[in-house]
Amino acid sequence: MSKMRAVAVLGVAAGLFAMGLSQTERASRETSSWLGPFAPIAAQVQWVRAEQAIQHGFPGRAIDFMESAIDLNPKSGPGWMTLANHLGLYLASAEAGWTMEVRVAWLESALDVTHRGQKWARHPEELSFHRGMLLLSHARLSEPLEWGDSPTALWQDAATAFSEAAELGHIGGEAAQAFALEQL
Amino acid sequence: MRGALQRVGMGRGLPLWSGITLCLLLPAWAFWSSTGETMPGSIAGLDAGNTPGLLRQGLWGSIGSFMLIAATWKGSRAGHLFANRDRSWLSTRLDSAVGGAFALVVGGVFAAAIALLGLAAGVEFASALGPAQVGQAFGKEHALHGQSLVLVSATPDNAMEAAWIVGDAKERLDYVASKDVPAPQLSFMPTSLAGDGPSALITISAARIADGKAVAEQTTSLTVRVRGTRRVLLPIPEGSGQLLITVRHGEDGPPLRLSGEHSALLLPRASHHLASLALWQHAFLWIAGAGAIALGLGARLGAGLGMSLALAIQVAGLGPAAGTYLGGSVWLDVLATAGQGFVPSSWTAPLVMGFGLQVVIGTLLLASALRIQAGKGRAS
Repeated sequence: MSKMRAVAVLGVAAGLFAMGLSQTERASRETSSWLGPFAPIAAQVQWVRAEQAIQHGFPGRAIDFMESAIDLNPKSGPGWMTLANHLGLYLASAEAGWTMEVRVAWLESALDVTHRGQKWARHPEELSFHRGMLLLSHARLSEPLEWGDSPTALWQDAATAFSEAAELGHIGGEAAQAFALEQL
Repeated sequence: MRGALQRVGMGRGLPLWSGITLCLLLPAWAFWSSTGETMPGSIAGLDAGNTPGLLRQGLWGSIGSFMLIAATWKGSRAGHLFANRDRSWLSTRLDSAVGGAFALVVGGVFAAAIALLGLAAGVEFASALGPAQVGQAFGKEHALHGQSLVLVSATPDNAMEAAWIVGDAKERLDYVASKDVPAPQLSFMPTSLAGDGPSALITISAARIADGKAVAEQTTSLTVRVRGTRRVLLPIPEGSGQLLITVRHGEDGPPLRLSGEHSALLLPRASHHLASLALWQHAFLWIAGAGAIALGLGARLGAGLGMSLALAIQVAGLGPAAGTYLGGSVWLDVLATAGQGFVPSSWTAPLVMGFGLQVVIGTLLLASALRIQAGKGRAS
């Protein structure tokens, strides 16, 4: 690089530095996205590591990696859904080996994830619809989760979630709500 | 002659002025990439006053990625030029192809080290402009190996209690109380499965083991209420030897999950600024190793293909097995540790071995390319 170019680059850098210095108060606010354009890439790596953790039989590590990926890229709706699936379908399943109380807690945790994700994801209606799908998945089992006060509580809550999705603009929300209400 | 070749290698490696530029650029980057938002329930939101940690994570992560790409490009291009354009004057100055190639590679490694030192200085400069990191500095060691998924709940027929022994970091667990030295801590991160709903009590205790039994006099314990996610620090009991960690759920409330990734041993450190030193160590092994192998690959395959292959090797290094040696996955872990406000652990023997292997392979590839080209030159 010629001296002129180096001086030019340093000059631009110094200008940016001065601008940054004058705005340090704003920069000092707590934030989770200092990685800039690299955050979604780093998040993808964490998703791969989560998948590997599941394949190697470490579901707890997988949760940590998934949460880390979401921290890095919270606007990704599929990210929130994947974490919700891990909690609400895999860990809340009878095959995971937990007691009924713990399985119910896993599903509650999954639903909480979809609620939290709605505040961040680009398409909150998708997460609302997904919450309904999680509830519906457990309602259709031959031995459904002991959910709420009545045997139809899962269907009722699924219908509510689908209704929310429809209100937010999900095209399948109304039909799914009607289907869930038919089962009551 | 070797010194001159090293300087040539440095000149073709990462530009040294990049360090100074980064010192100036980083505060501006910090300003622009800040969103000012904290995600509810995220680790970032847990540790109030950890802005410098997040800044280190972001700046090292983003600028480090740029520098990896730059180092592989510069390395592969330099290798291509050494093996083609510069071979005639190089052949008159080389005693041996391997020795000369090694000097060129070492020059590139020095350039990466200096440029990354500039980055480290810039990051600490940028973090010093913001609010200071509060509290005692701790280095984080992943040493609390328990089950993959520790879950405790209030139901009597299920696990109200989980317990495991920490035994494979004995010398690090030893601790003698002193007024001058802060106590090492055990860090846990319990999460309620009910999210921000109902809370639950959790009691975490650590006890020294003697003759196979927990010693009551050498036990520390803490009971906290957890809603959402919470970081819990427990001082290590004085003494030496193994530790029995016990986690017990209260009588009611939702089940609690203990994060394995955030269960760690925290050792006191002199300063928070040591985080950038540890990050520099890992970034150096990762980026300089990639640059070294790119130099050899570029000499044999051409600049474009050499860079692509060198980057592909680093992508493979993001996996758990290769990452232990190539540093990619370890780099993500140390970035995460810095982001939590802790000082990451130093480089490990496998990482140094992996770096050395890349330097050797890069040297041999470059030397073989110089020999081939020299042979071609004589033939023509």
